[in-house]
Amino acid sequence: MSFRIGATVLLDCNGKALQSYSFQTKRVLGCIKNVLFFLNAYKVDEIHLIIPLKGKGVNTSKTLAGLKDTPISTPLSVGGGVDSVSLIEITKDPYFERLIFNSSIFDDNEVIKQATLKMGHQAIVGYIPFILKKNTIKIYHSKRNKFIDVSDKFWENLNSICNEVILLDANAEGGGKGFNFKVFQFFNFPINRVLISGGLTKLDISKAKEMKLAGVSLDNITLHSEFSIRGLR
Amino acid sequence: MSQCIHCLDDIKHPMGQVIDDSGLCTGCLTHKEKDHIDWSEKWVQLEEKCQNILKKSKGKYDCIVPLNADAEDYYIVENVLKLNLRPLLVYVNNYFGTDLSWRNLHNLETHFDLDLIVFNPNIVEYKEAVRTSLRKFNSIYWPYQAIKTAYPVRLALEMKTPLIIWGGFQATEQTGKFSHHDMVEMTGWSRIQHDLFCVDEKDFFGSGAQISERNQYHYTYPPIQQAKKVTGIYLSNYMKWDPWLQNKSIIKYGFKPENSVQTFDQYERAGSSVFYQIHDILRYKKYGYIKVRDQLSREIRHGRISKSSAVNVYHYYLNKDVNIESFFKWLEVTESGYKLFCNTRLNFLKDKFNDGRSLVTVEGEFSSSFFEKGLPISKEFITYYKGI
Repeated sequence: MSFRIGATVLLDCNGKALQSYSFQTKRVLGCIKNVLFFLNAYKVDEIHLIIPLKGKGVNTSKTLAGLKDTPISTPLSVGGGVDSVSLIEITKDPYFERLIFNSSIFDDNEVIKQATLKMGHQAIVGYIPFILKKNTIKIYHSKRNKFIDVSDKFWENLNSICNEVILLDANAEGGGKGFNFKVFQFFNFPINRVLISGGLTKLDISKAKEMKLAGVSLDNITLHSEFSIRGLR
Repeated sequence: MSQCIHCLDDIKHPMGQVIDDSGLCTGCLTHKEKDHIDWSEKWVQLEEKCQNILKKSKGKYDCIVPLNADAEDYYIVENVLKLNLRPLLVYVNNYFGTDLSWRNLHNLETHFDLDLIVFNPNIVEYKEAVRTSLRKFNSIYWPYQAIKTAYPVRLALEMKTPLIIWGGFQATEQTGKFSHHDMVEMTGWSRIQHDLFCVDEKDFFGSGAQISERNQYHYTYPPIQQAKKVTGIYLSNYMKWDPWLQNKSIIKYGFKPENSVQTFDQYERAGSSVFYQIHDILRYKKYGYIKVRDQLSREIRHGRISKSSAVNVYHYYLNKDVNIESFFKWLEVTESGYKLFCNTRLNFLKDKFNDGRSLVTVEGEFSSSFFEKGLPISKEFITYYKGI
């Protein structure tokens, strides 16, 4: 598999694209269809579209369904509030290539099993925002809206239920200071199935390539300059 | 929470606004960055960026500077010259200029002794585009914004000039949509999102505008593969942007501000026949506020007016009458068409304003200010006016 350069887009429940900085500050980007159209035109390899619920229990089926008339050919992965109900909406349409899970990785493997049955194991992606604190890793749990400690069992389970994971450096998100590669000391998952995200620099992307990671998912910077991904391949 | 606790902005702002848990909007949050940025370091970054971009440049000019025919143009040009760049000034004629704006434009050209290209769109088709924009989108500015953001890029490509320098980036300055650290550049995406309110050329020309294919070209952005050869930068990412202060400082070059009835800001879009008139009424209809609110939020952030005084000033301007009839005459709309528009689209105006508030003077509400002796408008909608 060749190294992939994707882009992460956040979406609020009203259908507006967002930017996120350090996992805290949100800024409105605007019309999601316009964003998807241009990411497609910029030839990113895939788009990771996430609805950040942060503890709010919202049905995202309608928001996701509203995306489908945007004419893009770039593979689109979606996540955020994917439960049994929204799963039906997503899986009946080939517009969505993969599913991204966070809370279900911790709590509700049943939804992931259903998704695997309907879309295949290759379509299951884990979303792992992390912070490194006092030499330990803490992983974000969306439903509880907090970073928590995880056991070895978590990694074993993650390995069995997810085909790939997106590892997001929450502190670096939206900035240009670089991804914290120390995370790989604490992270127990085959690295050829890992995409990294959060504050990536050009050097980080080269390093990710050298490490033979599956790819990267650029955050806010993708739309900050014309055809921003040129020179990154 | 839907309104910022510090300024006058709310979450309905057309640029996009978020209010955080502390009640501050992103506009105020982003403005605070200005106090912590080392702007001299940013200026050095700007110099280096320009040098890098211009390394392989073979054109007669180093950069293109698109103009609005208002005070900001002077400030941009002043700084472009400080960067030792050879600019080509480009003005897209929106046909909304008054005698004052043409005077200021030609003064800029002659004072700095720079080359200026004025692009005059085919006026018959331009008016048709304005009519379509008004009919379909309740806006008169789509055609102008489309050409203004596309023409300099096409010209830059033709003239092999790889750099376009803009002044303030509204999305960052007004609502803090981006951090100053993002160093956002001109993009096709931003053009559609911020300048064309998410209506691209296909949507617009598919909506019944009778514009010949040949002339549609001028309204259309180049394909991204070409557009990426030109870098468009915003000075406000590299300088501590303070429009009122900056604009006052360029009076020395002969710029004449406007004595406006609709705003205290005598510099921004000074000399436009529509900006504070029909355009502002349509803004009010769509988003529920008039332009002066953006300017007052800006002044609150700069610490020159308190929120309570700003509210007073805002209501003072809300009470002011606007003149829209001359715009419809220019657009060649019949009397009955004009009345129909007013009765159907602007009927909300009947009870819009007067809440009985009054002010002794606007100036008295500011703790510090940059008022100037300005000029009145004597001629609106000048189709062509050359010389000073």
